[in-house]
Amino acid sequence: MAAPEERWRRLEEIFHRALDLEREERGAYLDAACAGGKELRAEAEAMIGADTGAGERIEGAIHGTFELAAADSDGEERRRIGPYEVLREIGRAA
Amino acid sequence: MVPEPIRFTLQPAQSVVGPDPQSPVTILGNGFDLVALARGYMRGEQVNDVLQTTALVHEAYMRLVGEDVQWQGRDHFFAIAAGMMRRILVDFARHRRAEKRGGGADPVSLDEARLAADPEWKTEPDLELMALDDALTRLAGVDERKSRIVELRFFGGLTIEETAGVLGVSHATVERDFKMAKAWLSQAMG
Repeated sequence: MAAPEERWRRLEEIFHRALDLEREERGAYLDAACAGGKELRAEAEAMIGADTGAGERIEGAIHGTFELAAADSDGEERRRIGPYEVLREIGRAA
Repeated sequence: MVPEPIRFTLQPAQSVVGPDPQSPVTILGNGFDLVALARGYMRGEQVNDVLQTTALVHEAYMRLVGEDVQWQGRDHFFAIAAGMMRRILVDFARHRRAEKRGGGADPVSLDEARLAADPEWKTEPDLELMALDDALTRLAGVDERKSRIVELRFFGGLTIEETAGVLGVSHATVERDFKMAKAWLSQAMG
C-alpha cells in the first residue's frame, strides 16, 4: 500500500494522462496504470467521469446558495445592512 | 448589465469608517476590496437585488473586521475573505436545512417524501454546498493547495491569474490543480 502522498501523486498523473487520451484509449491505459489497484482505478474513473461539468456543478452550488441567502434577507432586514439603515435605494440590478 | 454594487473596502485592522456622504455605504480603506468577492458570484448570473447581495458582502466584511487580524497584505486578505465567504454560505445552508427540519416532523420521512415528490431535490444548491464543503475539507487533508485554489477561485471570485499571484505558483500549475480539484470534488460530492 503506497503512502497517501504517493498514491495522490499517482492519481493526479493518471487523471491528467487519461484525459489527454482519446476516450476509447482510456480503459486500456487505466488497466495498465492502475494494475492491481482496484480502488485507485475506481477513483480515477469516477474523476474522469465527473470532469465534464464539475466546475458548473460547484458554481451552481455556490451561486444557488448565494441567491437563496440573498433572497432570504427580505422584509424588515432589508431596511438594514449591518449597522446602516437604508434611507433610500440608489439603484437596483436589472 | 449589473450596476456597480455599493463598495466595501477593508481597512486593515481598523474599525469601520464612513459612511461617505457621496455614496451611502462606502467604507474607505487600503485597497482591499470585498466587491471583488461579490463579483465572483455575480459573474454570468442575474443578480436581482444589489442591496441584498451587498448585505451578504457586508456580513463578510463585518466578520473580517471582527476578526481583529493584522492583515499581512493582499494574499492574506484573500485567503481569509474567501474562507469567510465559504463559512457564511455553509452556515446559511445548515441553518436553512435545520429550519426545514423543524416543526417536529420526522426528518427521514420528510426527506423521503420530498425526494419522492421531487427527484431533483438532492441537487438543491444548499445541500450541494454542504456536500462541497465536506469534500473541500477532505481535499485540504490530502492536498492543501488544491483546496485553497478552489476556495480562492470559487468562493473568493479570483481569476486564474490572481490565484497564481496569491499562491506564488505559475498559471499552468493553478490550471492543472484546479482541473483535478474540480473533478475530484464533484465525484466526492456523490
